[in-house]
Amino acid sequence: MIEIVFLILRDVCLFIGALFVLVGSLGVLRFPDFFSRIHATGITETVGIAFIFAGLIVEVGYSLTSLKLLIILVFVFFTSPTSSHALAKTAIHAGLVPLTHKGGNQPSN
Amino acid sequence: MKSTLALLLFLSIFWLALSGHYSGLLLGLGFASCLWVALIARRMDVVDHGGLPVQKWSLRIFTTFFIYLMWLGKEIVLSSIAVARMILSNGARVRPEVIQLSVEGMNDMEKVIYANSITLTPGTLTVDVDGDWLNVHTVRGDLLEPLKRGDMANRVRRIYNRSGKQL
Amino acid sequence: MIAATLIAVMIGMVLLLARAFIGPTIFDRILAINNFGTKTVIVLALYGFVTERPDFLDIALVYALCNFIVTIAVLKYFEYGDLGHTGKQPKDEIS
Repeated sequence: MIEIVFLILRDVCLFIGALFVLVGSLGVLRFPDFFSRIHATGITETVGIAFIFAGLIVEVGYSLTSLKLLIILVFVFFTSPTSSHALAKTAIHAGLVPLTHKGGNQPSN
Repeated sequence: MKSTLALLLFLSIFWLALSGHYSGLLLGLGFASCLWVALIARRMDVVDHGGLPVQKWSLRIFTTFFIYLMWLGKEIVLSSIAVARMILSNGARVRPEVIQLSVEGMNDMEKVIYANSITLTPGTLTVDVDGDWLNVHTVRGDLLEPLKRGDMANRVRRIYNRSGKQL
Repeated sequence: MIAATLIAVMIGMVLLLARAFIGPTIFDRILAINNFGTKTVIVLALYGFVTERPDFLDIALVYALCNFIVTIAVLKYFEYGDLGHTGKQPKDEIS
């Protein structure tokens, strides 16, 4: 009985994670300007990877493997805001202007 | 010196967690490499100023920080769902904005936690830190409402304030 | 289900590659490649579970490290034009 519960929990976690990863990638393709695309990658790097790894942790249970998964997760959580911020800051310094809805026109891709 | 020792301890635990080998020779070699890395880090002069404020850690900060992380996780999931719905709804609801948020009265550690939390939440992104102001880019204006109200800032301040001293 | 997740993540990687090819600015390409690396970490972890060899997680950890360092190094080179720059002197003198 308890195995079935864990199996369902694992599949639900993996499904939600895969959904968020797909939607995030689609957002990188669809959003109109560079600064909006950073938000779309943020979905993959926080919720997507968290749900997929949670599903894998449910699969293995208590072991060294799940500790490794947790370490990777924490590492990604620390580094992904840093690289997003570095990207945005470098883009601003290089002269890329964020699109705003007040006076902005919508560029095609 | 204290920070170097803390780094050595952390590296050793990390090595133990990752390797999974517990025979004598391998343990010795692992400890030797941890020692070597700690010495190099000390010689590079990167450990002692402000990387990890070890002496200020206490159980209370861990507890408040853990509560904060739980709250942050809830916020991340909620705003991810909002951004995902925006992606799926034909991109017409994308209204990017750049605003400035005041972080007056925060110390450096709180600023780091606050700016990182803003960036970690999908839909909001810290572009630049300029003294007491953060430039925040958002993909739609209403995702910024909780930040403008100061929810997150108050919670970040609460992490350290109970412990009396500021970092 | 793990294999299905693997396929879904790979479809996401293909979408990101499309963005990396058509991206109008260089930052779009860097962003796409950085996120591609994050997805590679997921794929490595999932592949380790599909083939029942969890040793792949070590590679995933190293890949996450490399991915971060590569992004920061490329951006640093782009901003300062010099990888050994300490970032302490004002930017006006360089750019």
